[in-house]
Amino acid sequence: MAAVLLFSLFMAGVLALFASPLPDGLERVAMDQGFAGNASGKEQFPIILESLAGIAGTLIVFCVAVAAGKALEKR
Amino acid sequence: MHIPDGFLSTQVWAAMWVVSSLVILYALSKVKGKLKEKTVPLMGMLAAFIFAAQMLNVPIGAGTSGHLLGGVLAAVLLGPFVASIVMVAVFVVQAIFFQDGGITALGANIFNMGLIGTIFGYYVFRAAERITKNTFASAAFAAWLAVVLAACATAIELAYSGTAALEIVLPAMAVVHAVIGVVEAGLTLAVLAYIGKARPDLLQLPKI
Repeated sequence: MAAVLLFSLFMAGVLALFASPLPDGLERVAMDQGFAGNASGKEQFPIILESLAGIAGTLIVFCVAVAAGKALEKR
Repeated sequence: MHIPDGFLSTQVWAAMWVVSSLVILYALSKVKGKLKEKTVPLMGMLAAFIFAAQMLNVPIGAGTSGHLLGGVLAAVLLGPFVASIVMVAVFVVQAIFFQDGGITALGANIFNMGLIGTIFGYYVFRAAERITKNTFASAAFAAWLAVVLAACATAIELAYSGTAALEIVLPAMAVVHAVIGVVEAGLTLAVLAYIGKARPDLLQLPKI
């Protein structure tokens, strides 16, 4: 169980740094069709911050999901 | 497929907020007081895994990349309504902490990339499973379909917003995501197969 969380942290903190920078399907269609400019901008951060953010986000979402689960548990 | 702020008109993003909120409230009502204690850590693990996996864009050709959505994977393991809650957690954290998907667009993003897969995708999975008697293949198919339908929903929302012409954006989104959907199907299959080997008991949990 913990292994999954650790692997997820590895994915977010390390593997994500090697993720493809190519636009995803929606971004590609937006670029091709000329409405990509409508988007409110997404800022670029230095690599180490991306890595830390990925790790932090993964931990946060884990906690949020568990908290939600606990709130909905059978009593 | 995260829609940023600025792509959707006010009517469309507000309507999608309403739709998603209603579905989420319904899901919560189905789950509340029924969730087994054993399921809670799995919710956390899936949320973490899906969140992290969505960061791993892989090139799919033609200068484009794709990434896992994970809704069908979550639903196959947890059932449609618990999976919906997990996916909501993922998209909310992404939108708030990563600006990955706009806040106004959050309702649409939750619906497109989460609820279509966790709910409609789940019932497609179950129907396919009944017909083929093959759990993994059914999950892979449902996962692929969920990606394509998510893309179609996105295209329709963009068209209704006046951001793009339906007759152009719908085929474009559908075709690109028919390819990306193969990645989704493959990853869904791989993860389920791994669970089937390592922790088959996780495939037998009660599903809500």
